[in-house]
Formats: sequence, structure tokens, C-alpha cells
Amino acid sequence: MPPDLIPTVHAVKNRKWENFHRTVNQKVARLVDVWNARPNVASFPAYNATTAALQALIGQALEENLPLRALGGGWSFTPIAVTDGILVNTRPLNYQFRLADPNLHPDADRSAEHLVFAQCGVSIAELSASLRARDKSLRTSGASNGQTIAGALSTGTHGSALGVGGLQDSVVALHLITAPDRHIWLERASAPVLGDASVDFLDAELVRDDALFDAALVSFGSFGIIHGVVLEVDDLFYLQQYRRQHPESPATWAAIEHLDFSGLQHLGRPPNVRPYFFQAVYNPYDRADGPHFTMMYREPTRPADCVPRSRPGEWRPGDSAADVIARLTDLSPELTPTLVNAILPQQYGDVEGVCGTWGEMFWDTSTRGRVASTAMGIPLDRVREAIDALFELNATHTAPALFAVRYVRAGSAPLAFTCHPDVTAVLEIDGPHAKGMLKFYDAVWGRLRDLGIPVTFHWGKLLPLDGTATDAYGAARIDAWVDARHTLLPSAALRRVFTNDMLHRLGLDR
Amino acid sequence: MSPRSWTLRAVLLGLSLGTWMPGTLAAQDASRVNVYRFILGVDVPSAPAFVVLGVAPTHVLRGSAPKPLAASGLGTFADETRPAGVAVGVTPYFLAGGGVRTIESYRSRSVGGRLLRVLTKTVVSLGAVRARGDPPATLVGVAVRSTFHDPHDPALNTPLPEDVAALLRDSGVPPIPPAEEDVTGYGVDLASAYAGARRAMRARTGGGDPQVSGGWGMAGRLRGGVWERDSLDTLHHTFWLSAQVTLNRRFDLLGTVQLRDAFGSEYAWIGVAMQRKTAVLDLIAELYYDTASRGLYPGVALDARLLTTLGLTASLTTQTTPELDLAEPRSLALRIAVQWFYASDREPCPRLPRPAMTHAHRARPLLFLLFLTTLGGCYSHRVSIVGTNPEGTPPPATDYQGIVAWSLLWGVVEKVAVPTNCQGQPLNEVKASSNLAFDLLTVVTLGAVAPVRLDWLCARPTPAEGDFPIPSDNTPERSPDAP
Repeated sequence: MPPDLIPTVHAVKNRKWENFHRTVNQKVARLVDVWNARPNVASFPAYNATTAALQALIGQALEENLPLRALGGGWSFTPIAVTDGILVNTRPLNYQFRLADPNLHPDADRSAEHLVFAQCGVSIAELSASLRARDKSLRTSGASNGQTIAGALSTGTHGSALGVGGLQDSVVALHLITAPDRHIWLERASAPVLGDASVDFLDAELVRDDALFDAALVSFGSFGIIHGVVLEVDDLFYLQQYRRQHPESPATWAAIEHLDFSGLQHLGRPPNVRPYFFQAVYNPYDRADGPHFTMMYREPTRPADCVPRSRPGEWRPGDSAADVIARLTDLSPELTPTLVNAILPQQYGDVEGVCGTWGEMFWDTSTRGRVASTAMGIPLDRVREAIDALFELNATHTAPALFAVRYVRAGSAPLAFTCHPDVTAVLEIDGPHAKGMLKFYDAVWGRLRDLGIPVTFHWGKLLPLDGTATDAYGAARIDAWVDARHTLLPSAALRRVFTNDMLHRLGLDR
Repeated sequence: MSPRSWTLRAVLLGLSLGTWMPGTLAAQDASRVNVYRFILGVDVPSAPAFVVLGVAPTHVLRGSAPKPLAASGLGTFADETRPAGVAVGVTPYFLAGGGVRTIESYRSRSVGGRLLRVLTKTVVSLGAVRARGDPPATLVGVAVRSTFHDPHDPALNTPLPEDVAALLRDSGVPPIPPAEEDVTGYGVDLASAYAGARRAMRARTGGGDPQVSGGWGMAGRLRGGVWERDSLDTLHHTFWLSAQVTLNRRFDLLGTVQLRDAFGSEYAWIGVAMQRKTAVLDLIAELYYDTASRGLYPGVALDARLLTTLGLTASLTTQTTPELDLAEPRSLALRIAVQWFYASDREPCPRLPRPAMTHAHRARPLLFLLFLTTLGGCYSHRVSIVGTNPEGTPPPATDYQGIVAWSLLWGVVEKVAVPTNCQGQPLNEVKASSNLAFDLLTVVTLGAVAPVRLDWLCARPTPAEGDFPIPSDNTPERSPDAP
């Protein structure tokens, strides 16, 4: 390999790694930053050289009998993406390549201009910026933009775009490194993307298999290192946002339970216009005034009455802000309602006509410090029951929490937590990382289980680690995922490399 | 703030309140003196912070009274980790201008009198140790040590206060303000009085009456260089009790029990030592039992007084800090510690003009009190590009990496942070953090030693979008491979 193609591999031994939300503190044998050889020029030979470097790291892990995990943005609240062995920081790997129609398979049912090839470390913010430059847009993402593309899809990151799945459902091909001597280009057989000759440029083994592809989509680093992905994107569009509190009524329940918005007033659009994005947020201490509904409408051009989104000033919450609230509410839970009622209007006020591109609307987060979040996928027809249970439990727990309901179209990945057909309601509980919050989570998980509501959990958010988190998937989905893993990682030694403690605790390491 | 830090604050607040009051009252009574005029520069105990950090030169500790101010530096020559550290100790009562009272009240055998003497000899010590490694480890410790029984107190058991007063009076020195801690600056040779007291105290057997001291402290490995509860990988509490019995003017018998990692794995070091005293140096031979490894370990130490307020201790002992992963446990280590300390029996110096008592001087206890009440753990400042790009700001390429940057001698010398992990990319964020230990060190040294934790995040590369290679027209299609 020419010297100028050798990637930089910077390893630090025996250090502690902490996630973005400061809820995971993991001692790792080696934290390895991997940089492309030509970091500032997207070069295909350099990309292939990085593939070789990542394969070499897997080889080291095998040789030293250490587990290995590719690390994304570090945004997961759980240790799903970490290991105590070799943690590979993929964030510097942010090449993007533009595909042309000659790159596509003859049977590809899409045009190259609506595809983008992104290296694993490309962040959502970078994707949005580069897509904007070519008048394209992501279809969905999480609420903010700091995740890497590989990390976000691997944990099933989602938004609340109605009729759109999680981020992983926009992915149409994966470049997966599984062994020191093997890396594969993985697509669905039913929907091929790259032509064989284009795959040859990667020197990868071509695998077209629907089941393997679907299983690998949401596999949280357990199938190997995802080095590159091909995403399907849309033409650039704009979102115009409206947010208001709606008193509880049959009309609000129709929206929450059936996504029927016909009875709502003041939506910013005529009642027959369906929003592209919808979410409901409840203040647990103000149920009478009802949920705050956020509607976003998709427009092909910037609306004439667009109100630009305001940007944060120089004063922002510091690292300790969430901690202070957590300790305060733990020390004196009776303060919690007052605090939540005081903070919510500041942080979550009404919105009228703010608009922007996807990247402008789902923008940088100002939330820092130790915060907590759990997100549970439930069938749409059980959402009211679940919300009632939350309010009932919080009457005794007084958690410093907000409840949110988001909506995601069910995808094909067997372990996507947004798997309840046809639309999964995602019930989120967010707040500071207080002891009271964690106790509340335990109570909620137990209560929903007792109610017989099938709950699937966002892999990157807090979830029960007592072996029950996978119950709602059913044996068929679990078996499909495990079988696919055995196919792609045929030896026990390789599976050990890509097994971490959390996989073991979830019972998925078989 | 954690309940633990609230407790610490309450203790310090209580100490400071207690110390402020007597100083204020004493200023009204010229018959009083400052008991800190009678600090002898012998039997200097190890820095308590080094004890909790597990790097004190000896495992068997002296039971003698602390010096009201002390600063220590320590180097270890053992394995490749070579831990080195610094520690400062201060008696809050002294810092707040306490110690002013009549000699009669100081010598009181009442419970109140005894407790006040304990307060006079209670020291708060902060220390940090840096061990080489990949990455290097920084350990920090804080400790409180009190002397409960001190038959070797010259103000208590020798006529030193009276002798000094007589020498000053006979030399025509006008009445000295009671709050004055230092009486060596009046041009009177007090050396013979202090030497006499020193000899008397070092020889005082008292029928086996021991000096008894004890302490508590906690130490932990600093993660990310910022000391807060969540930033300590390991937090270990240590309690210890030491006694020192003077057998004769040549020999002392020392005994120590250290309960290490209390509330955790809980093991003990129990040891005895013999101290051979000479005019220029002390030789200590120790033997201690480690309940964790169930082994007996010997050690020797030489403790010399280089200058009147500067001592050097060199020890050959066993490295036993397994709980903090500082070094290979139970390996032989050579430790050298240099300790500056406050003592009254230093060489006389010419009298220098003294500044008048200003409002600032009078406000010292109040400022100290204010300072204590504003302690709030760690905090940080940030230079960040997040939120500057309308399309969203790419997150950093790396995790935090950083150093503790030191500014020494009011900026004459400084340690600069040099990021070497960014591979030519700019910085994404710089964070400066401080904490209780850093702030205290800066204040105690009046800014001469000012540490701050600097962490940085590297920015991502900014490659423009490339083009996927285009295959030539005649490249044949191939069949999909089965996995």
C-alpha cells in the first residue's frame, strides 16, 4: 500500500470512555481513533485503505482475544455501543461519495441522484449540509444531529415523520467488515442497488440477501463494523412548524390514538392537510391543559410566511444544569412539579410558522450533561392505556419528566424497536438523570408489562437489563437476527469479538 | 452538590466560625498571646494527603502535632509509573487568625480547653499524585488530621511562652500585639529558648504518655482531570490512628493503624516503628502488617532537617496502593519527600517594618468564611463552535483529551496544552475546568500555583463530496455470491 494511503490509527490504552449524555462510563483496553489517510479529500483508494485498517484491528482483537466495537457519535444512553476491549472511534471517517447511474444495478428501482454513499462516521449534521448543497434532504432523523450515520441506523434512531420509518429504513446497502479477511457489500436481493462492477471497486464480497440485510440494519455493532452505507434521500423540502397545547378532548385523543387530525383547530393548515411530522408532549403536572402538539408540514419550497428558527444565545445550560435539577428533585421531590412547570414553558413554548430544511429544524442540541431517556415502542391502539398508566404512576413518583409520543412506520429490520405494524407509537420519557427518574422508569416498565402491552425498547436509550427487553419481539424475530449473525460471523471467535456485555445481558449473544 | 460535599462544607464552615470568634475577641486583650508562636520544627508528620493517597514515605506514622502550614513534594523511584506528587496542609484555625488566648486558658485541663487544643492542631491537607503510564494517572486526596493528645506541646509543658516573653521584655521590645504569630523578627535571639524547649520535648518521656493523632481522608483517581464525585473512578476512604511514645531522648516508639478503603474492600496496615533521634536527622525503621496480602513488610526512612523550615525524608519502603492502581503493589520503592513547614524556632532575622493593620487584614476571617460558603465543586468554561452553523454543526471527531495546565509563580512559568491527537484538524471545543482542590491550591498559594484542567475536542475533517468510481462499459455483471 502506498504510504500516503495508510490511515492514521491513534490508540490510547486503558482509558475511561464516557458517552455524550454522561450515563455510561466504560473502561476500555484501547480507544482507537481511525482517520482516513487523506482526511480532507474524499478519496476512494483511501477509503479502501481504511477498510484494510479496520480489518487489521479486527485481526488484533482476535489475536488478543479482546472484544471490539465500532463507536459512533456516543449518543446512546446505554452501553450498547461500547466494550471493555477495543473501542474504535469512527467519527473521523466522514467521506461521502456521489453515485452516478452507471454505478447502479440494472434492476435498481431508483435513480443515483437520490442516493448517497456515506462512510460510517458521517454525522447527521454533515449529511444534511452536503445534501442541502445538492438540493436533497434526509427523510427523517432523530431530534438532533450529532449521531453518526452508522451509529444512528444501528440503534434504530427515529424521528416522528408520519409514513416514514426509522433512519435505518432509508438505508439500501451496507458495506460491512466482518473479519480480518472478509468484508461484504450487503443489499437486499429484492432491491439491488450497486452494479457488480461498482462493488468490485470496494474489493468486497457481494451478498444480496433480504433477511441478512434486514437483520444487519439494526444490529448495534454486533455484526461487524459498518464501514459505509448507501442512503436513499428525497428532493430538498422544507418543514413549517406549529406547536400548541390542546386541552384533552375526543379530538386530541383521535390525533394521538388514530393520527386523525380532522377535529383539531389552529393547525396552521386546513384540516384536510396531513402533517409530515407529528408529536405530542405531555407535562405530567399539567394534564388538564392537555398535550403540546407539534405539527410540521412538508413544502417543496420555502413558505412565504416562513419564520426563521431562533438560534441559542451565548447563555446556554451548562454541563451541571441537568445534574443540579436531578439532585434538587432527588433531595426534595415536592419541588418537582414547580420546577417542571417553570422550565417547560421556557423550553417548549408555542411555535407559529417556524420553518427550515430538515437540517435546520433538527439542529444542534443545547442539552448537555447527565440526562435520561427511555423510548418504548408500543402498538398504536395501546397508547392511551400506556399514557394513563404513566400519569397514574407519576402521581406517586413525581419524576422530573416529560412524556412524549412519536410515530414511526414499522420497518423490516427484525430488531427495529419500531416494529409494531403499521405505525409504532414511541412513548418517550425524558428528564435529568435523577434517581427518581430511574425508579420511575422501573415502575413504568413493570406496569406496562403487567398491563400486557407489548413493549419494544429503543436500543440506544435506557431499557431494562433483566432479560425482558426482548420479550415483545417474539421468537421468530430473535431467531432471524441470531441466525443472520451466525451466517455473517460464522466462527465463535468472531462472534466473541463483536459481543459486548449488553448483548450478553439482553440474551442476544447466543 | 452531593450530600458528602455539603457535609464537608458544613465542617469547614463550623471550623471557620469557631476560628473567627476567638481571634476577634483576643484583639481586645493584650495579655493574650498567639499559641502559634511556639511551633517547634521537629517531628514533622507526613502530609495527611499523602497518607490517604498511599504514598507517604512511611506506613507507620508519627503521632506528633502538625505544623500549621506545610507544603510537600514527593518523588518515587520504584517501577516505571514513578508516582510524584505535591501536597499542601493548612490548619484552618491558624489560617483564620486563631490561636490567640492566654497561656493559662491554653493549658486548661477542662474538656473545652482540650477540644480547643485539638482544634489548634487540626490540619486540612490536599494532595495530588501523578503516575506515569498510558495514559498517565492523576490521583487526588483530601484529608483532615487532628492531634488528640500532645504531651510534647512546648506551650503546654515547657516554660517556653514565659521564657520568650521574658527575653523580649528584657530586650526592651514594646508589648507585641497578641495576634502576632511570629516573634523572631524583633531582633532578639530566642534560639536558646526554642532549643531548650526542643530538647526538653524530644526527651520528655512522661511515663509513657504518647502523642496521639488520627485522621480521615479520601482519595480517588481523577477522570478527565476534574474532581467531582462522578469524576473519580475509585473513591477510597482511609482512617488512621497513630501514637508516638518517647522512650528516652534517643528513641521513640511509633505505632499506627490505618484502615484503608473503608466502606469498600476494607483492609488495614498495622505497624510499629522505632525512631532514632539525633540533632540533625532521625532514622526510622518500620515493620507493618498488611491484612490484604497477609504479609509483613519492613521499611526504613531518614528524616533530615535541611534548613530551619525545610526537611527532607528519604525512605525505602514497600509500594502498597493496589486500590488506586498507582503502581505494582508491594514492590520496593525509594521515596523522597521535601517538606517546607511553618515553625517558630527558625533563625532570628532583623526586624522589618510591618504594614499597618488594614481593613483587608481585619476582613481576612470574613473573606475566608465567604470563600468557604461559595465552594461548589467543579465548574467549567467552554469555547465551542456548536450552534454557529445554520445547517447544523458537525460534532467533534474525538473524545475529550486534556491535561492539567499549571501556571507557576504568577505566570512566570506555565505548562501549555499541546493537542497532538487532532491529526492536523482544528479544535472543535476547548473546555477549562477547575475544582475545589485547584481553587484551594491557588488561593493558599496566593496564585503562585494555579492549576486548571484543559480539555479539547478535535474537529472533523471537512472533505468535499467525492465521486464513486464509474465502471467501464465492458465490465461484466456477475452473479451474487451466497454467504
